[in-house]
Amino acid sequence: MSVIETSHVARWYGQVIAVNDLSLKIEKGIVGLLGPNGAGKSSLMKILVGQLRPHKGDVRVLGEKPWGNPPLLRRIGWCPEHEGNYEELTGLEFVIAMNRLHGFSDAESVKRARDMFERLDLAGAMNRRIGEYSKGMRQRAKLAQSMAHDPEVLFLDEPLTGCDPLARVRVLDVVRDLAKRGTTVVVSSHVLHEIEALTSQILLMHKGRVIAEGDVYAVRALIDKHPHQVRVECDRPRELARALVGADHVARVSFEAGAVIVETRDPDRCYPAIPEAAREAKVSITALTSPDNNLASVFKYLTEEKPTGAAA
Amino acid sequence: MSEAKLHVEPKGAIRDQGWKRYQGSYTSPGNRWKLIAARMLRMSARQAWVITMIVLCVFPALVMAVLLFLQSKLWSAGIGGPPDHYGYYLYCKPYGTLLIAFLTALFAGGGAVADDVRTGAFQLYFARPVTREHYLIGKLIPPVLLTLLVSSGPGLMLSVLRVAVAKDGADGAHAAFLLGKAGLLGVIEALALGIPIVALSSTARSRGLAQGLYGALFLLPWMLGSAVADVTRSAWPQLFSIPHHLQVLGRALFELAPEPTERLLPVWASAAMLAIVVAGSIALLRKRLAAVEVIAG
Repeated sequence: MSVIETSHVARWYGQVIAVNDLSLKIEKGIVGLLGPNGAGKSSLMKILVGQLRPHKGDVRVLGEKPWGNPPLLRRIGWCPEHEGNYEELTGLEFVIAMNRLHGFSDAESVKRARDMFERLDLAGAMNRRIGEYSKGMRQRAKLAQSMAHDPEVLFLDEPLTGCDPLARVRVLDVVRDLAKRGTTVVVSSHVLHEIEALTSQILLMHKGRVIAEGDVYAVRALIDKHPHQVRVECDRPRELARALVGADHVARVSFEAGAVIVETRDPDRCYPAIPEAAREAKVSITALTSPDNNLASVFKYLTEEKPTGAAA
Repeated sequence: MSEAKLHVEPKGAIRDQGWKRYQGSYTSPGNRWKLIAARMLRMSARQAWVITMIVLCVFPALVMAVLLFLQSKLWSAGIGGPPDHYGYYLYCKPYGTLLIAFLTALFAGGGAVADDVRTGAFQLYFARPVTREHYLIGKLIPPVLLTLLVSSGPGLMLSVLRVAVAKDGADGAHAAFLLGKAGLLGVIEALALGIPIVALSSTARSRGLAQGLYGALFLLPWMLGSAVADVTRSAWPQLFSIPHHLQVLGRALFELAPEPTERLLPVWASAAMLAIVVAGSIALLRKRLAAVEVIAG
């Protein structure tokens, strides 16, 4: 039995569809849910934790329907993207209160809360009011409440938002540790490298649908397969274009003010060739950027109408 | 575009160290509403306006205590009747604690649900084994309790004074009976004032909106109903006035005859209307909470 299973799930807000006829199965492990803002990641997660009712389809988490099923929530952890209003409580009081709502005794709630603060490297601040916390500390307090009851399935919505690099490392370690112990973790982000640091298994979402799934490296390869743009700002764009246009790895060149746009299907060869061509043509390069060397370009590539002959 | 039918199986090595379910005991599910109520009570009782109302309610009680004491002395001297109607005036008149109790309910209950919607607290409550009923009870209790404190506290204090100044044993027993009546009227007032504001809070996007709506629903039927009743010489225009119903029940409980200019609805009508207000508010709350989803935040 899959840990999470959805069948033709749909959810909309008025005229806007958030989750569109989505069927998926997720097994034990860590799975990354990737997509730009508005892709439907948070809506899908809220459906999976029983906070949104699907308008269509069937949802099972640990074999049970999550909507209107409070006992199931004892087995699920949920770290939402946005914060609740607990400014007046200390971090420790907040997590203790959340543990008590799970049904733990006072002593057990305190023990688990302290343990989570230790693990998330926030023990030094656990007796300070949440109102005084930085964004990253709030994020870790929120993570603590989602993990303290030792859930079987953990849903993390943009968990690294606001965390400094050290806190990120700590959070990632804790999540990996939970997964090693057998917790299934579904983590959403719109930043590819955050997910890459946790897992190679991803679901790419766009407009409420999963548009790609599987190994993160295969998705990365998509970036390199599709025509890749490199923007070169230089003093004599036409001279540089003339030097580059004969190379077999260059598919097309075009111009913008003070820059040449090079399209290539082989970025590995193209990137070193540009400075070489500039040196030979005695062109001075001031900037070299790739407008589409990121996840957004993959989404654009996967979702936009492509010209005839473009790689699918 | 790929079909959205998926089967994601991790390919990396998963060193499953065996998740083990917590083997200890859990507290009773009934404990959940207590936790929610305790938190809300702490937050409500910290509000400056709620504290002000609690302090203010002492003043009408002190004035009436002096009057009650003087009346009891006069009665002992054979002048006038027994000081038995203090409860009605304290609970049901604007110069008593009626308006203070209304304002306490307004400040304590206005944000009960609206604040949770606004700040996204639902997403944390309902990520736990907390049922909608637990949440509902937890949210209803604090405003009702604080209103009860304001409505019943002074009334009970006067009732104790009334027992203390009793002429004899028979009068003492009668005074003790009045204490029960004062307690009952206080409870009715707290329910009639404290529950509707929480129901309105569940329909509003903000605390201010809920409070404004509640103020309008409480004050307008009272003022307009009274004016129209005077013009039409009928009590029925006051059918939607909560203060009027409290006055009717207060007079009935304390066996006080209506003044010549007063037009009062029958006791059954007022009792039924207050029951409808309370039951309707609870039904509205249940309906709103049963459908609650965490959409934003």
